[in-house]
Amino acid sequence: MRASILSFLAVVFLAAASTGAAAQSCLTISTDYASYMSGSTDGVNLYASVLLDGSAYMEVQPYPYCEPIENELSSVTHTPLVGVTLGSNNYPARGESGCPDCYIEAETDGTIANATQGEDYNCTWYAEVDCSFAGLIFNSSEDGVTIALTTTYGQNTLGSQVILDTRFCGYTPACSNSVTPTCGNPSWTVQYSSSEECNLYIRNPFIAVKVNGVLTECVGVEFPASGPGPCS
Amino acid sequence: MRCIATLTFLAVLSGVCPANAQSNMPAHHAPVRVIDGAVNPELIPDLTAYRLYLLTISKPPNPTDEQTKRTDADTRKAGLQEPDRLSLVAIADDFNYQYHNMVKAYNDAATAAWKQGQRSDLPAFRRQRDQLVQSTIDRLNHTLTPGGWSTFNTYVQAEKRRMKIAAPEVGQ
Repeated sequence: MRASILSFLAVVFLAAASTGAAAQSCLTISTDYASYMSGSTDGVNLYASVLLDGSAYMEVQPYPYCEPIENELSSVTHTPLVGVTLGSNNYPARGESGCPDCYIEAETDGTIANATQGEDYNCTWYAEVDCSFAGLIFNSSEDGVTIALTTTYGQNTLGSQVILDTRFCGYTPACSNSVTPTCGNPSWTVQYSSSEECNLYIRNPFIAVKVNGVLTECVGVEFPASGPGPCS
Repeated sequence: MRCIATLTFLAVLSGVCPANAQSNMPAHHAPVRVIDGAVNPELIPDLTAYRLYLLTISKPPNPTDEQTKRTDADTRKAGLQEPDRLSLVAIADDFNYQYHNMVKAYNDAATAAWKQGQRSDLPAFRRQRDQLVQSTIDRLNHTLTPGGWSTFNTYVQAEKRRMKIAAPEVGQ
């Protein structure tokens, strides 16, 4: 009998506790924050940018016990914070704080000047929004990423094909050294206007992105060249 | 019996305390749900992807040499022919100007309203923002060559893998 009473009261307690948890949902926050990390190269430098923007809509439920929160919200601010680490350099930035209904934005730019060919540079980033009342209401980040500046010289050995107004020129590596190029191997395509001819030789710097040591992306910009050259 | 009394007290307490518990909310809470474009690119809306990309590559009025170099590097990797690339840069810079004017006007009004205990029409602003993005996309579609537009759109879709957005709602 005693065990039965204890079980009953435990259920009452749990029910009451769960009601209390539900009652704690005084604040509803809907957000549309978005972040983007972009990397690029001009063939000499490596660039990375992190952008964050968006807004939040905070709504206090109309329960009497939520009134203290309603009162506190008048002084609340939202602050966007972004940062990118390139190699050993940190580039943090703090956007302008705004009211909870405000639209906020932050951006940071990092550079590795005169990047060493083929060297993997650590590239981690974060983008977050700090609410002075509720803490982090948006938090995105990425780590385990490296970027490298690599170069592949190419020769137009695969001809070209015109589709609509674009000429697609096919290149294979034309390396003057014995290195197997990180990008553009065994071949890659460069786009020109259909009225242009393919360059016979090109120098193509790439930004090579690795995630946890695995090459996931090569994006490059090409320049005319007079012949084969050193690849990395 | 002491045990029963304790449980009863706790049951009553849990029904009474929520307001007190709420007014002492922790400064930080569990990580917010985020949609990762590297995992689910289909969940990143096109309007969001174009907005982020255009803001990243565009420059403010009177840019520095460094900003111009970055824009060149950012836009050259999209694989556009030079006339299309230059059109993209001009349209993106115009977008940047209009966008920040729009945001500033909204924030000025929202801040003033908030100080008076009033709410601003955030959903209306978001619609206005998305309309500007859509009109800029339309302008790019009509200005770039057909091949250039196709290349550009493919590029922006692929860039979704570097984007992360908030999942629709966070409750506290």
